[in-house]
Amino acid sequence: MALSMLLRSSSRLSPVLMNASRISCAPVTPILANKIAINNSRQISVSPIRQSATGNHVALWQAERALSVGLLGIVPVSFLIESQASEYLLSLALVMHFHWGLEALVTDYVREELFGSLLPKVSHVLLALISAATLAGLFMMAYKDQGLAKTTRKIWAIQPAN
Amino acid sequence: MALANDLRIILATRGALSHLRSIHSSSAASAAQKIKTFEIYRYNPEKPDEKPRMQSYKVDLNTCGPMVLDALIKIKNEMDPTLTFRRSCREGICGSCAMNIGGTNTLACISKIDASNLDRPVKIYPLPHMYVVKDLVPDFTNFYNQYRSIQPWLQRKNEKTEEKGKAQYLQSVDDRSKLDGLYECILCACCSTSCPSYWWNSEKYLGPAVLMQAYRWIIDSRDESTKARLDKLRDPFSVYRCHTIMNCSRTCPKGLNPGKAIAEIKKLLGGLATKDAPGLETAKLHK
Amino acid sequence: MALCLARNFCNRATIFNPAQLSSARYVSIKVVPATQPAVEGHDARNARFKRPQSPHLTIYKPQLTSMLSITHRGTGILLSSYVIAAGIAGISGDFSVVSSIEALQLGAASLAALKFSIAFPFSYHLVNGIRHLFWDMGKFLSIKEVYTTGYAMLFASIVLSLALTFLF
Repeated sequence: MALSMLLRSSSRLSPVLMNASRISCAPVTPILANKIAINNSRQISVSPIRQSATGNHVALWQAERALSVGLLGIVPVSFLIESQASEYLLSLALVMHFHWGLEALVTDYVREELFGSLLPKVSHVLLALISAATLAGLFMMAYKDQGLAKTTRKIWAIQPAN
Repeated sequence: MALANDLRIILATRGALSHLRSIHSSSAASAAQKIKTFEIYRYNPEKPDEKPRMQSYKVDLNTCGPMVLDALIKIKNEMDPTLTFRRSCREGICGSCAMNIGGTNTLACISKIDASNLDRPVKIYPLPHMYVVKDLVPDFTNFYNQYRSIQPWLQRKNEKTEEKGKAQYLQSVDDRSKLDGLYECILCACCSTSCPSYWWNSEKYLGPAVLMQAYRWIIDSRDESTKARLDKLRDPFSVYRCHTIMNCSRTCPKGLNPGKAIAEIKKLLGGLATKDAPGLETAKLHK
Repeated sequence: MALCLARNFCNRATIFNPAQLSSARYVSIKVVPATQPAVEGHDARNARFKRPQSPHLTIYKPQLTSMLSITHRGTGILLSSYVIAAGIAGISGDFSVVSSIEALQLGAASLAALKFSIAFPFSYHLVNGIRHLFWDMGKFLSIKEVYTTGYAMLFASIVLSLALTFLF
């Protein structure tokens, strides 16, 4: 019975232990208590022991999908209509999209079991820095009228050397 | 007395005609032997420092049943009794004999031996990225703990007033049909061990088998702890390590679709879908 | 049931100590903060047994499902590296991607190869990305549909990348 209580209470949804108040004999203090004092304690948990993995990833998932759909519109538009505004928007959307994609990659592969507890955190910070630097660089390019879409079109326009 | 005499006669003459049997089989055997090679992963836990290796066995398919499990049993009976594997029902319903055959995870008892190509050996490995207890037997402890963690039983709000077993919980035909393709899972773990995400993150990612069962209880119209069930799946690892690789549904030996179930969980979590209200008043007979 | 358990405690105590009727076992409940019991993790336990891990990447059959998926990730990484390279180079403000490529004086075939190396990952990632978005809506998730849309995606992305390379 204690075992079933343990099992029931180790589940994360279980309410407070129900029969706790009923487990007691008439608390008669034995005369030779100190001689028979066997430390027979049993740990019964009334709160969930195993903490569920924390964090709410749902909002991020929704944002990723929304951005992907948005990119489907932004990429062709920024190539068809050349404007600085669309270049800034394209840069921001692209950086956010690859940042979230690479973040999933780092979460998947840079695991604590392989790399210890420090490297995964360092990798995430490094990724954030790279994304920030890329965004800064792309904004700089857009500012100088050399945005990604325009640059790509220019690469396409390069003539072969002969 | 007569019985004892009969028994003595039987004992004395046993095997007397067996030479006829061996003449028959040897002529058939030497006439046309279909030898298929099986390369099987071996690991002996009594010698843990010896690295796992592949061992080849040659089986005559003329004297063997059609399925890979038949060959494994034949090898164990006749050639190498130390070959160790799990098996039980031999009809694809218990999930014991799940292993990697020819590169994909399936049940050995319903996996036909490829008799058309005798030159190509059959490669048999345990389920991928699992700790190996011995030979083809993996450690399922983590998998079972994950299954337990999703609380695979009916949970209702008024469990104090609704005495379980007192009356049935009503469920409409449509609501019952939502469980089709979910309840048939035999927990063989072929799908979870075919998922690269589960290979890399099996501690925190629940895997397709467990997630499909989580979904089975989430959309059961009789279950009332939907919100609590979904709330336990919101973290980045339990569900969201799934990147829709779809190896799971590809490999399921029962033809189920865990990938779709996970997609439906993501829709429920992300608000793209909601659980329908039950078609019938579930606890009507409890009143 | 709890009551008869309590009764059992008391009864057993009297059996063991007949002389002391009042030496029933004293059971008390003390509330303490929940402590993590020293549970050996799955990995630790298996490491203790020195169990090997069964092979995975080296033996699992490459299938359309997994190959298209890893290629989607690969093209994503490739495209990210192009954008990151361009962006970080662009921080300085003086660097011009176009001029550096023009300086290479590439022939027609090399130029086409360069364009294709940008166009193909882009097309593949774009078309497969759309396939992924359909999956997120719950559509086309049967194995038959996964394969059909997979082949259609491959065809479309190759056609698109060739079009982008040679027609623009």
